[in-house]
Amino acid sequence: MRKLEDFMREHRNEFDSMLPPLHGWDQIEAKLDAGKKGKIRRINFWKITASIAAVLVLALISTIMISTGDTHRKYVNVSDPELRELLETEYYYAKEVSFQMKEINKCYEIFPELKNDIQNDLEELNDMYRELEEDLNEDIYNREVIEAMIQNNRLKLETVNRVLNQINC
Amino acid sequence: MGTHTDIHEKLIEASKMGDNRARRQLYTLYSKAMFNICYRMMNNREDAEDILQEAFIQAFTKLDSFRYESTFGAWLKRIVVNTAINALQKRKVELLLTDEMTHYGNRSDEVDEHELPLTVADIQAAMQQLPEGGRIVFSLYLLEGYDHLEIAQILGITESTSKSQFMRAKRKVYDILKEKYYEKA
Repeated sequence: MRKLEDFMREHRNEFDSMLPPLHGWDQIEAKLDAGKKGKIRRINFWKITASIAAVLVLALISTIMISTGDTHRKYVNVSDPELRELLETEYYYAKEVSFQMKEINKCYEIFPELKNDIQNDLEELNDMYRELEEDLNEDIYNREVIEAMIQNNRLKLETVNRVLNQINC
Repeated sequence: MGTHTDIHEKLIEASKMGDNRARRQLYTLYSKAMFNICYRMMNNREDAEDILQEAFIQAFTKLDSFRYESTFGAWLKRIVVNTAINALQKRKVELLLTDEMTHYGNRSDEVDEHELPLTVADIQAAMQQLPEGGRIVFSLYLLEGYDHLEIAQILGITESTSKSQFMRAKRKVYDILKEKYYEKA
């Protein structure tokens, strides 16, 4: 049975296949800010979202609109909850990127040279992201494209975080 | 015990000062890995989300006690694991059924392991079918990187119990995979 152990160790990273909850940080931040103690009650955004989506499905028959930010919107058939979850995850990371870009933009004002350091990397990632968006517009059911968009945003986050970690601005 | 330099030291120190931006960045960096641990411990998404939230709140609340005696990831992982175990114990889950060592060594010839094509998805599905205690020991040992002595300390059991639970769980995973393989064949 050594084969099983070896396989799991060799593929360790692939076992982390689940994505954290969409609004996880918002809830933690709210609890930290409130400084509340005692039992932590979780607001289930998934259920709320699903309920809202269900109502919209009935009203609009087949589609709802999921916004992925100010600059782009996606339409998705809600009959596939896994696809919707994936799109919402993409939305989560797009939001994170948007938030962190505002932070890094503030830093540019103090340390303009920073912009040169990372702008090329970010531009490249943004170009790839725009291409992925076009692919997604052609086929909303393309999970590989959505996953690539998530990965793209994760890379952007890592790039921005790496810089933010090194400076105080 | 020595101290560790941590690549996220600035973030950690800023978080200690209550900087929400730094906390958010730590969450972004660690939430996926920690959520997967939560999921493996709790075996369902909803409980895993609860544990993730509770563990991060605990971590940030007592971040002052983090003295770089381990990496931040290892410190946080221990909080996540302990939070999950406390939650399971509150549910009065019988984590470990027996202290008796079961010897499986002589039975390995019953399974031709080389016949079995292994995939991550199949193993994950098999792990979900394990009894609670076995699943936790199996996961802590093979995926979270704890040794049996550490698992014994975490779960309050003997090292030999940890080993026997692990062997039992591994055998069960193998049996499930084998069954699935022959169903397909």
